[in-house]
Amino acid sequence: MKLETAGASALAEKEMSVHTVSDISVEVVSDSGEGAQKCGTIFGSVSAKMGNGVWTVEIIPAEVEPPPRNPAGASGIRIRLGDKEVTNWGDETNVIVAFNEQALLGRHDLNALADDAVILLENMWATHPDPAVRKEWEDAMERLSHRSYRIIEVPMEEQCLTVVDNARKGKNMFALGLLTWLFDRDLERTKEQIAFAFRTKKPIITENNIKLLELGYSWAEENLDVRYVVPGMEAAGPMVVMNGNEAIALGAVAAGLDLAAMYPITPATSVSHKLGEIFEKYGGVLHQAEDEIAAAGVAIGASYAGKCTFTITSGPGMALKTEFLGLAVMTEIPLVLVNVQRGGPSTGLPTKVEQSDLLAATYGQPGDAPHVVMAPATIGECFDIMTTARRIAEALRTVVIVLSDANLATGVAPFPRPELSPEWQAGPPDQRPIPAGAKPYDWDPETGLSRRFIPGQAGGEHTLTGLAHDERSKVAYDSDTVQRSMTMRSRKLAVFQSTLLPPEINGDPEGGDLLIVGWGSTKGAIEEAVGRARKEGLSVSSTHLTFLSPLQPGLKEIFGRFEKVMTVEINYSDIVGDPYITPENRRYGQLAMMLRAQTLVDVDCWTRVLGEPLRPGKILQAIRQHMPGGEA
Amino acid sequence: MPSENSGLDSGDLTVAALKALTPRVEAFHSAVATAVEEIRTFVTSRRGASEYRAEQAIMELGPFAVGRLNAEKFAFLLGSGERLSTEAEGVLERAEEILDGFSMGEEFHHVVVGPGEDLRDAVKDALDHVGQVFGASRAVELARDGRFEPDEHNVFLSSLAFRKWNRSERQLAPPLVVEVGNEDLLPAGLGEFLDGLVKIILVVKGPTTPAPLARLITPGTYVVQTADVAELSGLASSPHPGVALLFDEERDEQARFVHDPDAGATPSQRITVTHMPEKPSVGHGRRTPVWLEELEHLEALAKKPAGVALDVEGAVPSAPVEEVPADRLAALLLAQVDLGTPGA
Amino acid sequence: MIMPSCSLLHLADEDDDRVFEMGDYEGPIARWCSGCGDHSVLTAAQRLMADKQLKPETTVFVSGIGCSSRFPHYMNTYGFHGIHGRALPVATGVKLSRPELDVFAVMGDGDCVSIGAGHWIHATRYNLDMVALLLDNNIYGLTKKQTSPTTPRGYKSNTQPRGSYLLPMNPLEATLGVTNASFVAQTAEWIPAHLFATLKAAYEHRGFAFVRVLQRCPHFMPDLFTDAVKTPDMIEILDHPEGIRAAGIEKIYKNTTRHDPADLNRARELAEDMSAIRLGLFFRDESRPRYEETRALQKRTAREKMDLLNEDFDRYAV
Repeated sequence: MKLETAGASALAEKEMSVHTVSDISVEVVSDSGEGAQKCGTIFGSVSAKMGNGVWTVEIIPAEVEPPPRNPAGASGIRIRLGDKEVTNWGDETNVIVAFNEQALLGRHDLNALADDAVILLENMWATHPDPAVRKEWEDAMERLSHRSYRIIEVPMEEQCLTVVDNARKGKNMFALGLLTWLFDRDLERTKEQIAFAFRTKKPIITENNIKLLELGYSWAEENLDVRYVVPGMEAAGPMVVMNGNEAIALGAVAAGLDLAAMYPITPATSVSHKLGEIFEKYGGVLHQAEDEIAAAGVAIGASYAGKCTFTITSGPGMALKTEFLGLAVMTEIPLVLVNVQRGGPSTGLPTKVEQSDLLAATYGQPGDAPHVVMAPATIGECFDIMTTARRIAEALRTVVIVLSDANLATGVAPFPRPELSPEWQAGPPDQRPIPAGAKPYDWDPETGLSRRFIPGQAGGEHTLTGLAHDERSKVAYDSDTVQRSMTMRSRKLAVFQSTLLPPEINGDPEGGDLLIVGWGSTKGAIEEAVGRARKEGLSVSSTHLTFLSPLQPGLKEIFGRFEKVMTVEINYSDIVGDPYITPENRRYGQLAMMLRAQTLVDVDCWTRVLGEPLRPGKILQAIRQHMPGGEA
Repeated sequence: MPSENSGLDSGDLTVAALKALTPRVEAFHSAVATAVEEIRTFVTSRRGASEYRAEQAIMELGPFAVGRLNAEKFAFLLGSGERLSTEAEGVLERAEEILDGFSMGEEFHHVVVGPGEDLRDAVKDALDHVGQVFGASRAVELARDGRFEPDEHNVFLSSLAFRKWNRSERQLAPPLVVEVGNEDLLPAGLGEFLDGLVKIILVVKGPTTPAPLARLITPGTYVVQTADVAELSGLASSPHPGVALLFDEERDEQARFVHDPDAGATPSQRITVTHMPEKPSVGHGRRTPVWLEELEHLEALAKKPAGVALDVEGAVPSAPVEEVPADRLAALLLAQVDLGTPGA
Repeated sequence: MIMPSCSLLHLADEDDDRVFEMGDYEGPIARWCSGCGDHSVLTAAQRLMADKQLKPETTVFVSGIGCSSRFPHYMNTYGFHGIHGRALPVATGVKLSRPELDVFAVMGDGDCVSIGAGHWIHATRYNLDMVALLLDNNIYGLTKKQTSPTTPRGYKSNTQPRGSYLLPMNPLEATLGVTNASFVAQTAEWIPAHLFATLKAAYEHRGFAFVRVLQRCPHFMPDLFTDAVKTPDMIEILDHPEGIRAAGIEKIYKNTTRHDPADLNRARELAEDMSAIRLGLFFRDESRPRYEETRALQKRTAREKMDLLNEDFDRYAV
């Protein structure tokens, strides 16, 4: 099949086609270090400023500097634009700019590209002096020809060399020019954004980059015959744009968490990068500990002695912290732990998303260690949740685990700028003397709650211990005390659950055929899929859980309104019908398992571990298949 | 105490002296600001009806809790502290106002002694004035425990004399920079204020007696006379109370020395003299009576003991370590008792 | 300069004229075996507190797990009896969040030298102002006689009944080898005057003061120092005006060697050489950077923070 191509010399009398779209996904891919991400970030920011919904996510190879021209080494960025708020990374890519055909192949191999994708491809490789490279190009073209992509060859190198000596350092701005024309972005705004992005560099850099931008723009204007219009929205109010990890870092500051102890681990570390940059001016200490265990210990020691603190990690790190988490629960020291989940088990997929730590977070501590587990669903919630988590940890004197994931950590999207309030901040540690006779665990027999004694409070001297203890914090092994103290620590969760509201229903609160239940970062994709399914006439609704331990109230009653309930999660579950898998031995998704145990409702699950966020299109397919009485 | 810059030179010196004390100033401001914050938190959480408490709970939980938590029920978890009486609230608000005034700015760290005025009285007044913060915080503690009796305790809402500060309060004492004329530099009376972590820098222009601060040298007091602002850092960081005399320039007749309590066990180890003025031939001019006495006192303190066998390093043997008879006995007994293998 | 992290409010209520005696620091009666070295250390710590008039409410003893880690329970101060091997991270957190508190970490040999070894190395490097006591009886006691990293080679235990296979670890040598070590001393539980003088010097040191206390375990390691106790000449006291001098012991402990604690190389040689049991100050350097100093920051009020945060948000504004 002959590929439809448009070379530099073609299109003298081009016929323009302009598509108005409400939703489109764009990618820029290159070898590592060629700046595709910078290009996409600027493009995304300008689009957000022009009123589009935007979700960008970086495409990161596993190595820092993988070999060039390698499908597995594709590095880049994906930008989804919409005429409404965009809540997830979407389905396949519609337009892609590729700096070499191997990076493009990498995306092709992952089924990332739509069948009718428009591809703007650097063509220098086709005529490369090295015959091996030319052969690779030919082979790639052959493989790509089996799909109905439209490939447009672009002489990027040749063009860029007219402005800079090293095109490797300029192609990204040329590509930005292509996209700016293609999507009719405001050229002046783009220049401003370039100036901002390179504000710390020499002025000549910005000047050259703007020249390259203009070059790409005019090349596109002369040579391309297709353009897209994504209508913008009226801004509802001031917006900010950042990724979920930056939101967690700022959220921690807003919450008055004055000390963060951590050990580097992907994909959580960028929270610490942000804190490292800004925390000190708030009087905050970011302590990089010698290991994950020490990070938990330092956070707990600091929390014990004063204000509530937090630690940041990912699955393998949380595993190392389990003994300390048990200690904090046992000694009733408030602590916030943020787990930015990645693919597991073991080292797993460090840069990729999974929601596989739910059970470990909830039940992973030896002994009975009741505590709170909650999950943000959006980037904006990553900011807000920190204040709430800290407040709950202090009110209940316990551990609160916040489960974010790699999808939120790397996704960048605008959200309404928070209206900050000093009330979010923790007050200074109480240093008033302890009245005579007060006990360090003076459990209210009804609620299990008690007042915390903090070093410095005269009259409150006691030794807290991870051993079984009584109200006075004295080691006690007698049956009555053991049973009573366990009851008191557990009771706090029930008391807390009584303050929670049932989750809202997206779709039809009255009920219907199918209820999808999700948690964490999948909310946007699930709700988009449910919206599409409802348009198809399917009786499906969804609900999204924020609190996983304790679970929000009213679930059993809500589930009763639907003929079938199914979770959608990014963790592993057996698929019924696979060899040896029976309804009896099937391993369920993690939330499904919890819901089944807690509600005794026969909750089904559709879960996938694909090393990428769930695409709404795939969820839609799953919904169609799993409708009661449907194909499945 | 409002500041009035009396002279250009001493003004510059004052700024430099205040800068040297920045850590102490910040520590003080920070403690006061934190107290203000604590009062605000306390007042907001304890006043008003239960509906208000629910509102407060939702404020503290932040926007994430909206639609997810029942604020009224959560407020219940936050503890059912007694509602604050109007009277107590009034005391807290007044105290907060007082403290707020001391949580920033440098004016109350700066004292100017007018010509002919008494240095000691000026320092005393300045400390008493700042003492308001400690009085106010005592009033807060009484009021929030419901123990504030207006007749008895209203006094706490005005100045609080230095001698009434407790040990912890003296540890937090705000540092002072005092501009004083050379004629009025009679610092001997300052001894009573050199306690806790009080730090006083006397800024003086022109000639003075040779060692005005010599009389203030006591084993636990950091004392420095210098014309070099950089030398004041030791005063600020020393974990002892201290006083400095900052000259506007180096003069032959003014001694320059440091007495650092941590520098050794004996006076001579603790004192480093960088400049000792020549002794005048007695009877010259109209020297004040203290003139020679100061100098001799300083010399006597700084003099290395003669005739004592020196250690190799040139230091005298350290001061005798106190000995507890019980220890000696225990050691002797232990040495004699056979704790050998039972049963072997 | 350390910033106080608390407000001045609570200062007001303090009974300022309190004078503390040793008894004021005593908790419940210690439940260690009779003859256990832990008792002496407990007494010395209480004596130190009385000597320094430390306030019970601003003193925190942090421990891990093991016999010696029961220590905080027997003190009338704040105490944190945490998990095995992790006393130092917890103590680090306490000191970082509240630099004005006096912090002591009490560890056994299994706690510090084995399961917590990583923390021990890094706590030495952080050099926070605290006292770290290694109560070293060369054996696991609480779990009934298992080999510890400091157990002498060939000593029979329940886990190595044919005698321990490895050479024992030398905690002094190891600590002296760590970058930024600032205070390393060794003392013995059966010489109370030296023990007290050592604790006092450790407390007075501005930085991470590591003290190894040689101890006997009457149950599981009874013979360890029998000869040394009976034959004072087996003990070599490190003597120097800048070192640790305990009054009254010189008549019994006549075997002394002169060692300047500023001399790190000599300290390492002395620590490495196992021909004598050496007590005293091996090394001290107060000029080493302290973590809480380099991390001391100006505290901000809630309002100040929100103003700053608004500025940070400006950078993300669309």
